[in-house]
Amino acid sequence: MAKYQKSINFCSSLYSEKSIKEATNEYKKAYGGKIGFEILKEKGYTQIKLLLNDNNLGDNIADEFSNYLLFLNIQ
Amino acid sequence: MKKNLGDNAITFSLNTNIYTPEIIYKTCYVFIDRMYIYLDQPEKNLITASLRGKRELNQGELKKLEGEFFNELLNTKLREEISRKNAKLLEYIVGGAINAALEKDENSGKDEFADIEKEIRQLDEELAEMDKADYKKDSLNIRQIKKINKKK
Repeated sequence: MAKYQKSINFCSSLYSEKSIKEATNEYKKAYGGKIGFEILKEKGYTQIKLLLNDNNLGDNIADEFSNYLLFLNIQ
Repeated sequence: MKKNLGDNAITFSLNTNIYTPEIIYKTCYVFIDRMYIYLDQPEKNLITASLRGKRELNQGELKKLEGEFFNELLNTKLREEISRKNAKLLEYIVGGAINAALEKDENSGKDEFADIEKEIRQLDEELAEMDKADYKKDSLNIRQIKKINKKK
């Protein structure tokens, strides 16, 4: 059970579902068991919940994750 | 984007009638190494871009980055328009170059084939000559040469 969680919302019209799935899978592979992911659909948004044991990781990973997602959408 | 980016960030709105999402994505890519970028679309024709510095930036630096971002947007838009206008021309040039290369290849292939056929014909003729040859005729006059050598 993760101690902390951090949510990021991505607008569905700008960030494709495919890229979100790809980015999540890549991060799962890269961080192993350190981060858990939950993907939730809200109205017009995809919410990514990062489940963490170390709260310091949260901000950095959220930022890097959003840049990586942007990069995947450019391709 | 429901996110509080803090002091080290700037947020601005972009009209998608002027800058398409494609142009905005490409512009963001230029800044991806210096900034964390979040995009949102609160309205149909509006995209908000939030840029947060990877290192601590003061207000002056943030304003400068905003200016750079808008300049890069124009730059990208111009490049897109030029490539769109020249797309047909580029297609013709590349198509012409490929056609010319293909024709050259086909012709050089024909020449090579003709050369090989010519060589085969020559070899056939030589073989036919060899079949006709009669050692008793001594066309190279070998007997005479042997006699001279014996006398020496």
